[in-house]
Order: sequence, then structure tokens, then C-alpha cells
Amino acid sequence: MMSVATNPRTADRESREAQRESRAAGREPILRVRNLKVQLPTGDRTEVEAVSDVSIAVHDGERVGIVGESGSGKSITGRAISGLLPTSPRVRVEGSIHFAGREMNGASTQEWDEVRARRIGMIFQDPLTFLNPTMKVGAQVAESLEPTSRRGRSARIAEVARFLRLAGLEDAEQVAMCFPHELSGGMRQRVLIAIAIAKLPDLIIADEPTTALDATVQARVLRTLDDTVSQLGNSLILISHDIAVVASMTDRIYVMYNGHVVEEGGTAEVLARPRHRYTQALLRSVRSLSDDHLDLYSIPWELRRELSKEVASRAS
Amino acid sequence: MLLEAKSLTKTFRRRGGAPVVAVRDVSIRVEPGRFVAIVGESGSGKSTLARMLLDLVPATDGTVELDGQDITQLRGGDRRAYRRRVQAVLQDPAGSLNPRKRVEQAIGEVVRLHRIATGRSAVRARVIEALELVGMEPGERFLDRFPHELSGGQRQRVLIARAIVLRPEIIVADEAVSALDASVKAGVLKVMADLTETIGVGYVFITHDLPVVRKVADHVYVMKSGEVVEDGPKDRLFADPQHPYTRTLLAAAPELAPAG
Repeated sequence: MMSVATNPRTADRESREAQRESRAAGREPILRVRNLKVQLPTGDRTEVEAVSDVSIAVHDGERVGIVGESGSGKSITGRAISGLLPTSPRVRVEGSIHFAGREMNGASTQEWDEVRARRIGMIFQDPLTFLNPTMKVGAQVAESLEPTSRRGRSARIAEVARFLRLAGLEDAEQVAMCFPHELSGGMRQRVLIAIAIAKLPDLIIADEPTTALDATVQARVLRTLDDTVSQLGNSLILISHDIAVVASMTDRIYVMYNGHVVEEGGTAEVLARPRHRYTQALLRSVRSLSDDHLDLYSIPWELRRELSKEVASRAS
Repeated sequence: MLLEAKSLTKTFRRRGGAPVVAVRDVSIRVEPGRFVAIVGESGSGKSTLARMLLDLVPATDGTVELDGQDITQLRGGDRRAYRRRVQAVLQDPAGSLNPRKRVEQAIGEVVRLHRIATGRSAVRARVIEALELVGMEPGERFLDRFPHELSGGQRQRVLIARAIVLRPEIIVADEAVSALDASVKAGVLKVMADLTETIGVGYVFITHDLPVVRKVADHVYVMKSGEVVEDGPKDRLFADPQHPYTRTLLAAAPELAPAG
């Protein structure tokens, strides 16, 4: 006979709580990535270094943004951190991905599955590739629940509804009975949020979570993500090309260019006083699109070439 | 020249379902040299409107008129002229360019088709001129490139070059910069805005991104559920939006605080 206290999942939760406290005492981050380098195959014999040198740290409860333009390596970094790079001998990952006391670079598929099942929640740009089209969304949220709260059908349904509602889906009971294709884009993205938070994860990685949504829907989904992360207190990594989105959601920010982190710091500080000239140019171009007093500004080709040289020489 | 949509309506009939009114009673006007923006979210009918302006789908009701003449009544040379005078630039540059054609061929073939120039060197001169007008200088350097050898912003510029090489009076641009990074977006927008001066082209610029048109538009129409809910000169519309939906759109766009 197993009492609740000795249930392995509850024990897991308790040990995670203990780990969190010891990390807090030693100021240890929950995630520390050091000198990450990712090589991906592009053709039959050629490889490209998508990520050249990325070091990031995320503490418990912290919200961290990774911004960069397309091709900067930000999404590949996110995939590496969540163990979702394709498994192939031609995909090479170097450096350290230290998550919750374990080195994950080189971890087996099974180890990654365990981590993603309980401790890392993920939200992507396109919910349809993530959601199972043949399963009702309620059942998909239920898969994320801890087994302790899965006991009993009615308790499970109530839990699923609670997380859907937390993700901003008011008609939770009805939504739970829908298939993904029956929902709008904004609702599907909320279902992904519900699936991610139902694990009560230590870390949520959101890669362009609202890029495909209309501005009004984006604003509401971001507010929901903001509220749920505040309520659950987990860490967040928000990856986006849209600096304004990252600015509104994060405490700290990493700016990536050509596979390198070129600047990091407090979000407000970096936006107000960017030190690196790439960040300065990027912010100038973003502001030039909305500020009436600025001429439209595009980062000049010569500057891009100099920046590429600069980051390349830094790596060697 | 004046291009007008007069009370355009488009209804799509579905088998076994109620008809869907994609565009309802929409009137807009655009002239060469003017930057007209149509802003709306997905499902607002803005792309259907674009397709009617380009004569790609027929209107259920209402007319598209060029200098007062219904374009569905145009015949022969006039119809061909319409297809030259009103050009399209669409969202996905990768999908709009044939991956097996070099830049010179992609732009040159429309020059030949519309008999803007004949002979290899005359066509090439037109292509180079168009490339340089969109900021791809020197144009010669890009002639032999394939689409995959260009960046996203360059591909979008090639599409604009392919439109302007025909010396159109109006370009209908549907989400032409939406998929681009901010820096590239700013560059392409600047090129487009400058062309209203250099060659006097006018735009029907369709986007879901209201802030983006702030810098370049003269006049803005806001669409919701197939209808124009508000329109006005850009300065007025941004300073004093009248319709609640316009205000919602403006408030929803995340914006960076100005530099400190």
C-alpha cells in the first residue's frame, strides 16, 4: 500500500523543492549553458555552425529573453536547451547544458524525455505541429498532469479545466472536448500554454509563441503567459525576433548575432543603454519603424560584415 | 490616373453552408504617387480586396474602376495595359520567384512579355535600372544570382524591381514586408516609399501591422470583418483614432520605449 507521501511523483516534487532551495542558497542557476556550439548538416557533405558561442544562465523564477534576427541561432539554441535537435551523427553539440544539477549535453533520448515530461514546458510558433490532430485537447493536457492528480476521472477533468482556464480559455470544459483544428490560432496557442504549465515545470521555453498571431490576439496571449508564469513562479526563456515582445516580458536579455551572444544584461538597461554596436543598430532600426522623428533605418551591409568578422575572431 | 474600388462586395458560396461575405461594400481610392494602406487582421477581407483590385477574382457586387471605367469591361490592349499599369507584390518572396531562374531572367521575362524593350542588351539595361531603383547597386552584380543566393530582403527587392520595371502606376502589395526582420523591413519600406518620388508609383499597401504604415502611408483604411470601419489621412488616424477597433489595434501593438 502506498501512501500519498511516499508516492514517487510527490517525492520527486519534494526533492525538486529541496533542490530549488539549495540552488537559491548557492545562487546556482537552474539552467547554465556554457560555450554552446551547434553544427548542423546543410548538404551532403557540408555543415554550418548555427550556434558558435552561447553562454546563458537562468535562475529559478527568472524570465530571460533571447532576441536576434533570422539566422542568428536563437531558435537552434532553444532547441538545444530542450534536447530537440535532430539525433544524427552529423549534428554536433559542444559545450555544456547544465539543467537542474545534471549535464544534459550527451544525455540519452530517454533522459531528455524525462526532463521534458516533467520539468521543461515548451511553446512553439506553430501549435498545429505540436498538437496531436487526432486527440481531443483535454486528453493532451491530461498527459501533462502529474499522475497523483490523474487519479479519478472527474478529478482529472477538473484539473484539465483548471489549467485551460489558467491559460485564458474561459469555456474550458467545451474546449477540452475539441480537436485542435476546431480552435482558432489564438486558442491553440493557449492550449499549448495549458499543456506546458500543467506539468508545473521548472522552466518554460517559448520560441516565437505569438509571431503567427494577430496583434490583438498576441497581446492577450502574452498577458496570459505573463500571468501564468507569475502565478506558478517557474523560469521562462522567451525567444523572439520581436524586441518589443521580449521587452515587455523579461527581466534579462541576451542579444544574438551570427550564432554568438553579443550582449547581455537587464532588459531595461540594455534597451535604454545598449553597449554593443549591433544592439544599438538593431534598436535603431526597430525604433525607426515606429518613431515619427526617426528616418527608416536598416542596418548597413558594411556594418553587418564588420560585425560578422568581429564575432568570428572572438570565437577563435 | 485614378484606381477606385466602388462598393465592392465579395461573397463566397460554400456547398451546404451559409455564404461567407468576405468583403462588404468597400470603397477605396488610390492615385499614382500616393501611399494608401489597408490595415486589418486575419479574416478581415483585406487579401480578397487585393485580389479583386488585381482582377484575379471577380467581385460579387460593385466595381473596380480605372479612370471611371469598369475594369471587367476592358478588352484587348486595354486589358493588357491594366495588367501592366497595376502590379502586384506579394508576401512570400521565395514562393513568388522561380528557384531555377536567375534574377536577370526573372525580371527580363516580364519586360519581354509586355514588350517594354526588345533585344538582349536593351532588356538587360532595363533590368539593371530596376534593380538599382530598389537599392541593389550595382545592378550587374545581381543579374546572375539565383533566389537562394539572395537574402530575404533582397528577394523582396527583386519582386519590387520586377513590378516597377513595367513602370506601373499602382502597386498592390499584400503583406509585402510582414515576414521580414525589423531592419530589413525598414530597408524595404524605405525603398518602396522612395519610389513614390522617383517613379511616381502609388501603393495599395495591405498589412496586418498598423504601426508599420505609420512612417510611409498618406491615407489609411482600417478593415474588420470585411468592412472598412474607419479611414483617414495617416496623421489624423494615428493621432485621433475614431473607431474602437482602430484604438484596439493601436494599443495592441507592442512598442519599445524611445531611447533614453
